[in-house]
Amino acid sequence: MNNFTLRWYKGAVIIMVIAALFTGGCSSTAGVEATGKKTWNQEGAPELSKRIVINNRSLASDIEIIDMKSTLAGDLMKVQVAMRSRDRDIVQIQYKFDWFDAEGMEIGANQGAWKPFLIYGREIRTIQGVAPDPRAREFKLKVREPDNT
Amino acid sequence: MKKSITHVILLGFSVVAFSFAGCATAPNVQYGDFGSAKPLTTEFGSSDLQQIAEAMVDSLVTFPPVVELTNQRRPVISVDRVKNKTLQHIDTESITDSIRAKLIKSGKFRFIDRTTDTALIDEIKTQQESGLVDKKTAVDFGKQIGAEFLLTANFSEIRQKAGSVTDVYYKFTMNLKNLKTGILEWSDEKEIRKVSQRPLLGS
Repeated sequence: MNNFTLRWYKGAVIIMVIAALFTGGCSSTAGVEATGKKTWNQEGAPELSKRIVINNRSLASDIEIIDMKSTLAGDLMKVQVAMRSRDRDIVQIQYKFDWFDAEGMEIGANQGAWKPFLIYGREIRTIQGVAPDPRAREFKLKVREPDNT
Repeated sequence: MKKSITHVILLGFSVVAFSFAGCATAPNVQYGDFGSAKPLTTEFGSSDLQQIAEAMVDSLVTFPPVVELTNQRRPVISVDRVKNKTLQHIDTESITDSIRAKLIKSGKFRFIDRTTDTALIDEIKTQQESGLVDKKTAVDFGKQIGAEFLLTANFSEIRQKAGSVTDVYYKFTMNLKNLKTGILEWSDEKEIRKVSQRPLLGS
């Protein structure tokens, strides 16, 4: 291969990489899920068993779930999740709550809507949710980047 | 010379192939997500309706005096029309429909609906006067339960425009009025801001 062809191939590789960067990364709707289940420990005191699943590493590097609390408003489960932004700029996210009863059946399956939320630089903000009816014992908070497709 | 032309053609094809391989080409019509929160314009949208309905319901059912009241019994509520003070034509009844449905599903309240009263009066009249219905199963006039509370709401917007930026602020205020005493037992508002910026190039 002569020098001319080699330069063409180098240029081709650079152009292909740039094209792939622009088109290969459509925004991801994978997000972060935080689950809390109301249980009772051995003394009979209520506890929240928590679990966090991260499906989007770049979102998890922007926001961090630092606390999950639940209480009762009457007989409705009320949940508060505190999130901290690790970014210096505004982070825009969307969130949704899913609720499950004592048997693990979803209450109001596929009826919720995503809600927009923004966190300022390095701020801690809380997201609160109220169960749709008194059967709820478990919640799942889903957080994702805004869907711009 | 011929070799470099083939190389250029191959390069051109590979660039085109890469640019199409990034995102799958979508069909022209497809079902979307009803719960999507992607704003198209600064006008009132479906996501705003959903946010308002959820915020109002969450606030009402967790308000301590209302929690105390609903602990003992299920109060009867009537829903008034929303006062639309915005410049847009908005079907505000669909907002109150969503709120009412969620409140009924919570099991804490009972509702009456005046909008279907003409059909109701026709039906009871037929049952009473036509002679077709067995008197033992016919429904009598004057036996309905009266509403104790009235749900009223105001919806307003503040619109600002500066150059290429349009900023619209919506405020939905809802009150629960006690019909006997006239007192507003609960009141809350939901604020939404939508900002749109015209891009430098294109439309």
